[in-house]
Amino acid sequence: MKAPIMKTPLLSGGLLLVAIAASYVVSPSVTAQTPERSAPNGAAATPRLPDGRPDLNGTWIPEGGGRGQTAVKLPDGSVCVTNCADLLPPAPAAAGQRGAGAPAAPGRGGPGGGGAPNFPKYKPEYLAKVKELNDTQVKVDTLLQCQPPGVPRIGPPDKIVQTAREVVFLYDDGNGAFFRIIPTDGRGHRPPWASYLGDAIGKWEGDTLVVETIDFNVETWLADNGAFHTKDLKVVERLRRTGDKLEYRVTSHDPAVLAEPWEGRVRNLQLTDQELDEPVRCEDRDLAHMVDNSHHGNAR
Amino acid sequence: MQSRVRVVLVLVVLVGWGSSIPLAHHSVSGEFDLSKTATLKGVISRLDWINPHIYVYLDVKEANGDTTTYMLETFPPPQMRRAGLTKEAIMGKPDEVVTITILPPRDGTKHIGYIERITYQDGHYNQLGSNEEEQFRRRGGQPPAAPTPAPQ
Repeated sequence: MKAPIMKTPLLSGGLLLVAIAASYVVSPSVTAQTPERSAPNGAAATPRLPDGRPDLNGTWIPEGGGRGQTAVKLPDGSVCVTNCADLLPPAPAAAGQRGAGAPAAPGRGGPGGGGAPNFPKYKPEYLAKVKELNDTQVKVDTLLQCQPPGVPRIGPPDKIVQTAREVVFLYDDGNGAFFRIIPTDGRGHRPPWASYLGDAIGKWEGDTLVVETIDFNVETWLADNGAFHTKDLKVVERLRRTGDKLEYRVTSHDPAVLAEPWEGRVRNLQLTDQELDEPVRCEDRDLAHMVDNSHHGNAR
Repeated sequence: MQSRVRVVLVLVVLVGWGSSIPLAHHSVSGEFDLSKTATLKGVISRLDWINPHIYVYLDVKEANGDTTTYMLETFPPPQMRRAGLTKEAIMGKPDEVVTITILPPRDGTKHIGYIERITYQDGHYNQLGSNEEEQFRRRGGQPPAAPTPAPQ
C-alpha cells in the first residue's frame, strides 16, 4: 500500500499570517566578574574573573542559534518540520541580506560557525586509506556506533566552568555527556593513558585560552569521511571571549600522516542562559539495515 | 455579498538549542526507500526517546486479528525538541488510532520504517520526514545521490 505525501488544504485561499519567534533570549553572563574592561565601539565589555582572566564561564551556543531547523505550526496543532514549503511565505529577497537560498558566506567561520567545507590534507601515501575509510564509514566509524567523538570532532564545548586553577569543558553530545578537565596552573600532562578525548593542559596567552591536548587513542577521527589520525595527534584549541561572544579555533597536528596542520573551521559562539540537559541514551539500531555506504556529515 | 476571509495563523519557530548534536548518524537513503511510502494504522504503544534516532512502536491490528508491532524511526531527540514536539505530542491520546505514513526499508526487513507523517484522530498531524528526504522531493524524486565521495 502506497500513499503520496498529502499537501495540507489549510492554506488554500486563506490569509497567511506569519510570526517568527526567537527560541530563546540570550542574556548576559550572570556570574560574578570583576573588573570589566571597557569595550570600544559600544560593544559589550568582556567580563573578567578576580584573577583578571576573561570569564569563559557559561553555556555557549553557535552564534545565531546554530543550524537552522524550521518548524511550521498550524492553528489545529499540526506541526510540519520537513516538506513544508507550501506552508511558508516566499522568502524576502532584500539586497545584501542573507536569507533562504542566499549563498553561504565564503571561507571559514561564517555566522554560527558555518563556512566552506574543510578537510585535512593527508600525505599522498595515506590518501588510499582515507578513501577506504570514507567508503566504509557506516561500518567502521565509531562515532556512528555511539562512541565518544574524540577531539576535535566533538566541536567546541557546550559549557565552560572556569576557576583560577583549571577550566572544565562540558559537552551535551548526541553520543553522550562528556567532560574535559584542563589544568591552567602549570601542571603538565599526565602519564600516557590513550583516551578518546586525550589529556589536556591549558595556558593563557594574553586573553586567549590555549588548550593543548595529546595522548589520544586511535578509535576516533578528526572529521567525517575517513579523516583518521594516529596516537601522536596533538590538538591545539584557542578560545577568546569578546563581550558575550566566544571565538573557538582548533588546529590538529599529526605530522606522521598529515601534510600540514589542519585548521578546523572557526566557530563563533554566543553566551546563553539556557542550561545543558543530560543527553538521552545513544543506541544505534540502523547500521545493520544499511544497504549501501552512503552517509553525510555528522557535524558537531 | 459578504466575503469570507479565513485567517490562518502559521507560527514559524526558528532554531532552538544549538548544542553539539548530530542531525543524524547515517544516510536515510542508505536504509530506507525515499521513492516509496506506505501507510499504517494503529496505536502507538511505546516511544524510545534515544539518540541517534527516536523510535515509535505502532501496534497494528492485522486482518486475522493478530497484532503486529512496527518499530518506526524518526528524528534525533534534539531535532524533535527544536520542533517543539514532546513525547506526549508524538504518542497522542491513550489507545488513539493514528495513521502513519512511512518510508519502507530497502533491505526488506519487515515491520520497520522511517516516519513521514503521523495523523491523529482529530485530523491534526506531525509532519516529520527528514532533510534528506525533503531534498529528494525537491529534486523531483530522483534516485538518491551516490555515496559521499572521498575527499581529495
